[in-house]
Amino acid sequence: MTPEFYEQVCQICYNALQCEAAQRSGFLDRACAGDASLRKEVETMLAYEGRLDSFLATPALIVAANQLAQAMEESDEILPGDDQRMNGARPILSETLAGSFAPGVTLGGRYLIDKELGRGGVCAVFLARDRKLHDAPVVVKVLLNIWQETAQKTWMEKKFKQEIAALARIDHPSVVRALDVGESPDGRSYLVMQYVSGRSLRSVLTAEGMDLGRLAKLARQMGRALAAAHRQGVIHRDLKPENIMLQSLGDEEYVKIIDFGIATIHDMADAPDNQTTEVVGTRSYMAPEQLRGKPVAASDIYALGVIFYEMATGQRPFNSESILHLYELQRAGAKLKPRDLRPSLPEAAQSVILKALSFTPHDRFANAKDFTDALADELIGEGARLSPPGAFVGPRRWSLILLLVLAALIGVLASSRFSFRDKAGLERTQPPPAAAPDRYLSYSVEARRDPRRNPRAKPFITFENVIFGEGDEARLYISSPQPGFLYVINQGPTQTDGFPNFNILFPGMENGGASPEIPAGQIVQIPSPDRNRRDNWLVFDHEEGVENIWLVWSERVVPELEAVKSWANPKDQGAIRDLAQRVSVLRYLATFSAVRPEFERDEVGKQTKLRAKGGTLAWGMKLEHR
Amino acid sequence: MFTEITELLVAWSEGDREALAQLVPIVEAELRRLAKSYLSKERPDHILQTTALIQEAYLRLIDWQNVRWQNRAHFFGVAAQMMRRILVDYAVEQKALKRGGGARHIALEELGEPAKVFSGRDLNIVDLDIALGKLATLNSRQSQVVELHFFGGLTLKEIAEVLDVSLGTIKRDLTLAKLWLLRELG
Repeated sequence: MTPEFYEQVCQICYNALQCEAAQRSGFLDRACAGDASLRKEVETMLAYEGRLDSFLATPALIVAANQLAQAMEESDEILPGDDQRMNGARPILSETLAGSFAPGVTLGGRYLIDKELGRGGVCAVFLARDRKLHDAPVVVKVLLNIWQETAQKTWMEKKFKQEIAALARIDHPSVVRALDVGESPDGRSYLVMQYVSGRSLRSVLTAEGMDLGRLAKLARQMGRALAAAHRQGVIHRDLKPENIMLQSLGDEEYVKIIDFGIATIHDMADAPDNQTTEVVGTRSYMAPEQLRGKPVAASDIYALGVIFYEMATGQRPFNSESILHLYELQRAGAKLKPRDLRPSLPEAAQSVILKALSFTPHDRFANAKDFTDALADELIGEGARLSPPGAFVGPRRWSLILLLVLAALIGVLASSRFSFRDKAGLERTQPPPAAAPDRYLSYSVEARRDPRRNPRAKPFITFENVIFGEGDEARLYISSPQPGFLYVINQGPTQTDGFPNFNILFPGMENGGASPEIPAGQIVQIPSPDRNRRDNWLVFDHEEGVENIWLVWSERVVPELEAVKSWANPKDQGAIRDLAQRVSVLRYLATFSAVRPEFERDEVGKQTKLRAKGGTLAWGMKLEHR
Repeated sequence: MFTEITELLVAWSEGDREALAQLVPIVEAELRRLAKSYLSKERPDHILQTTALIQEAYLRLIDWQNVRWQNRAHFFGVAAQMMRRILVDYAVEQKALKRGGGARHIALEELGEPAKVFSGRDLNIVDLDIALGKLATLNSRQSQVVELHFFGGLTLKEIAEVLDVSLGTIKRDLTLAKLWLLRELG
């Protein structure tokens, strides 16, 4: 068949499909005009019309997954681990479990079941009382019967018993202790463990980050506990702040690591080496190799790295709902270094945390104790003592936000994997001379709710702390008691390539670009009154995000920004879209982060007054839209 | 944010085989996860009908919705090709393992029994891949539409956007391509 002939067949086929059934034969007679081979082709294709809706209706990935499921069902393949936590589905609950472990039942003549505490992937956990020990609370963990196949059941039983044996061998004050094992009347193995009271690490984490001395103490204990587990061949596999319990005794705080619930025995002789286990646990703390289903002891070290990052900064280094995306973020490395968020963190401590977050297990620390000892040593060194935690937090919340914006910029630059040469070459040519007089600049924001929806809404003057919705409008008023040169650049939300778009808001783009020069005392309105926009406002569209508006106020023309001006598209609101140029602008603006102006807020006039040393002042203000 | 995936995809489309190798394990892990979730339910066929799950699966792999890529067509095209390559290779491997392992790459024509019912589970992805290759020689856009729809998981509207043709044209292409493929797979 030739493409031309096929096209002819397609034409007729498609037209025939549009015909009423009764007319179809007549249509084909006319369309094929006695050409028997053409007619035969058309008819054999049309014969499949009834299958059109069901054929290829399911995406390939789902089809493949289903076929795999079928193959697993047919074969004796054993599925270690479990993913129930991740997809939120409940394991098949067994009636007998409820009976043998119901509240009021006493196990082994000793443990009185109180209530079910929770159900994980493969286990159910109960709170019980030890009748032989003054009704002391204990935790009973029971293997769930979620496997239909005997082979799988046997395998899980064996794994569970091995885990119990390994846990029993870990003798460390910071690891929850196994107390007893037994078998229920219906033949289930259960494990009795210490009940750990106290609060979880999660409950003490704050957005500002933890006191570094406290972090050092907790880290040391966590590292020792894990090292003890690893020595016994137990990988925790689900380390997260929820599984780190804190107990206070006097002035001291003690760590207890719980829920080795999905810990696996990695030196198990009968599991093939290359057997991948299902991805389980909370992904934000998971090492890349664990996302790929191959956890090793170093995966726990990675998880600790994520936890320490969060303890120090209040944030996790990587967040994504998508496994693939998370994996890629991990490969690229943390865009925000801990010190970008917590400048008082010693440089060396940051290096230790980042080493633990190495993409390749081999590049991390070989031993959990070495890791946390190194971290604790750096944390309680000179640097930490000189700058108390939280010292960088300004008197107002938004100063922190601005700082974060700047930090984000530096982070993006520092970790950018874009290695192409800076085409535009926007190196700062003139560092601000120290002798230059101070620069002053004042600004305020005027905002208005969407005038189409709220025709009577009045504009109001505000700081930049309002949140804009779709259709809402803003403009800026900028002035200075000094003459100088003003550039206003809008940095939009980060795009999918990791870099933001930019628009030049001032000077105007008309007639080949206006002059940035402003006489002393003149009030500049942005967008300029002569710009051809709706009533000269910045209008927020439906896209959510943060607009960072950079004000650069210099005593002379800034050649770098003149270059930036020349890249902007006057027909597209002064937009800069070329990736290399956007990277250059970002790099250039980031050079200003080291010289942050002093500022003062005038609560009555809603005016922000800036002052900076040297000949150039640069300030990033943030408008948020949702 | 998607620089890395994009870079990998582009690198692969430019002939870098390593790039694909880095994506394979993640797709396979997702496959296994999905397969497991089907196994743990009572009626897998029922789950197949829920579009939410399908959406979720694709979102896990590539956050399509959030991709605002300068060259959308290129990105989606390459991503769909990637998915096709990985899934077809995977199907070939599974068959090879079933036959007792050993030879990982066996001749395509030796593979599989002819598929008769097309309700997903019985669709032979390897045969479909071969047929799609033949279709490309007759009408490359029809073949591309199937690739984007079936392997790439894109809606018809998205395909129209990516290929920059009308929605009507995409519907026509898909209908005719399906008829042709159905006949070819017999």
